[in-house]
Amino acid sequence: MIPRANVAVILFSVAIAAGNFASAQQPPTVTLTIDLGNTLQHQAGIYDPVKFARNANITPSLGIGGAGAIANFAVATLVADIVAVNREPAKGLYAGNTRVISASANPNPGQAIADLTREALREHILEILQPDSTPIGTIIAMGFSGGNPPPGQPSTERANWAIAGGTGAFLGVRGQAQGGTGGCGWRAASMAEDPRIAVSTWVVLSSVFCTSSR
Amino acid sequence: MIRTANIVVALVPVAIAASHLVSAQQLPTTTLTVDLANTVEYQEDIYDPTKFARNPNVTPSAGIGGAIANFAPATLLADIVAVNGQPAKGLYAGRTRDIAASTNPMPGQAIADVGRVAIREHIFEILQPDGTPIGTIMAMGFSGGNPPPGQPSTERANWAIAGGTGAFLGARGQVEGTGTGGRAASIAEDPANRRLNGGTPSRYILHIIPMTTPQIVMTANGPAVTHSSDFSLVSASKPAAAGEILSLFATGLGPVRGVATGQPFPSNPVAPVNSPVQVMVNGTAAEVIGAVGYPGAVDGYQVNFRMPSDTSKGTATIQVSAAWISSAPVTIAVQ
Repeated sequence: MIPRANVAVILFSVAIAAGNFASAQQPPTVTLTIDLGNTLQHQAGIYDPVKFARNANITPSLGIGGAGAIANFAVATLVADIVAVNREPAKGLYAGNTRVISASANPNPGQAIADLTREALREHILEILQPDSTPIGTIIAMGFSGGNPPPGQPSTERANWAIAGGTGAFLGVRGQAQGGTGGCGWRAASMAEDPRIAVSTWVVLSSVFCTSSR
Repeated sequence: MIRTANIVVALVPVAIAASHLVSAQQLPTTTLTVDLANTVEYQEDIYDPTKFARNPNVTPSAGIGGAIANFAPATLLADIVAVNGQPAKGLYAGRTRDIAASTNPMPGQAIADVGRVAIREHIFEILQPDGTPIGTIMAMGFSGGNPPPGQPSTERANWAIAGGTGAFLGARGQVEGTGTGGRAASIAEDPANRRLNGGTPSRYILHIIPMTTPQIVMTANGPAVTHSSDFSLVSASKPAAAGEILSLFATGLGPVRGVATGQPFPSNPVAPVNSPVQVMVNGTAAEVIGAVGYPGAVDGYQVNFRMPSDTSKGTATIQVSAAWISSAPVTIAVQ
């Protein structure tokens, strides 16, 4: 630990060094706030793929963890509409691919023992269009859902996702993503439910904030 | 095909150009050797999800390439126990889909021009031994088969680092590993008992190209390394001494605790650097007394360290690293 007195002295004595901090390598960062609508999480509570997406009615999932019928290791596919970017109208598709692990330092039966808390592995794909459907670009991210945010992330959001890349306007981007609800607030449907019914039945807004830099 | 005669002739006229190749853009690479324990691969050998993770006992898998011909998914979990030989904690998680690609496939394997076993994602979340988070590295690619061109390995896989968070924000690079997936368990086995039921040790070697690297600030009069007693620059006319406490000023040490990246660092109290910081003097680890974000800076840091008592007179090279990512060396005078 550096003594406080030392730090106070530094402010005067090393002005030469401090002046050079301005030329540091901090990469330029762009923040995109992406609003989603009609968020739906299709959980694989059934195992016969010929029954996937066949039920035209709302079909609740069996539930993952807690009182749910699936203790752990469930897979889910998340689908949503992109409705705004930085509060400006937009269109597009959000899709996520999840495998639950329920990692915890104090696991209940069925959860995974670990040094830290994480809920699932997840990939995100955000394909953003202009309101007239002109494609803009796509951002791809991956990491852990649940648990604490990573060091330095400007968020209290409970996840740890890195931006892995992008295409179009976002070709080669990297950075990190945080989510407003992390998918936890999304309606959990069975994978048996036909995804076409989601738009007319549910309107749930959540946000994915993507911080990217090239 | 290039004729040999041409090559001989070419060597002479491009000597001037060749001298500039030394300063080419080869990106700095940091190697992390990550040791894992209790590695278990939970193979999806049953199809009823209500039976997943229910059996508290060791539950062997039906076997991929055995009872399951191909296309089986699996989830890998392990404890991170060391990084570059230093104790660490953390979670390794992997997600695999077998493809069993081969130029000469057996029934059930995939015909292809290359041999690859599976598509896999990796996540390495690394903590300090006291549980302080350092950063996370995400990777993806193929398991099995030959290593990619240029990888310093004979390891049989082909994985790219896709990104990271914390100390590894924006990282790129490649991964090599043992290529084994740990003990093969049924997905019916309860992962709460992974440490009790046991797994295998394994090791991954991460060749990281960081988005930023530590740099010791350079001033017009030399590197920003000062005497902590009066914060005057260490110089030929006022050299450092063995055993003396010095302060160096650097950029690129990553997040500080309690401050979002890009926000100015506080002064009261000062914020410690989140990642483990190491100072090397002539290749020997020096005692690091403290490392903090410089008040008001967004990417400026002060590190106080003690010169090793056996430092020889003359000059010494100083390097600083955070999360095992090291700066280029600078030279200071030693009396």
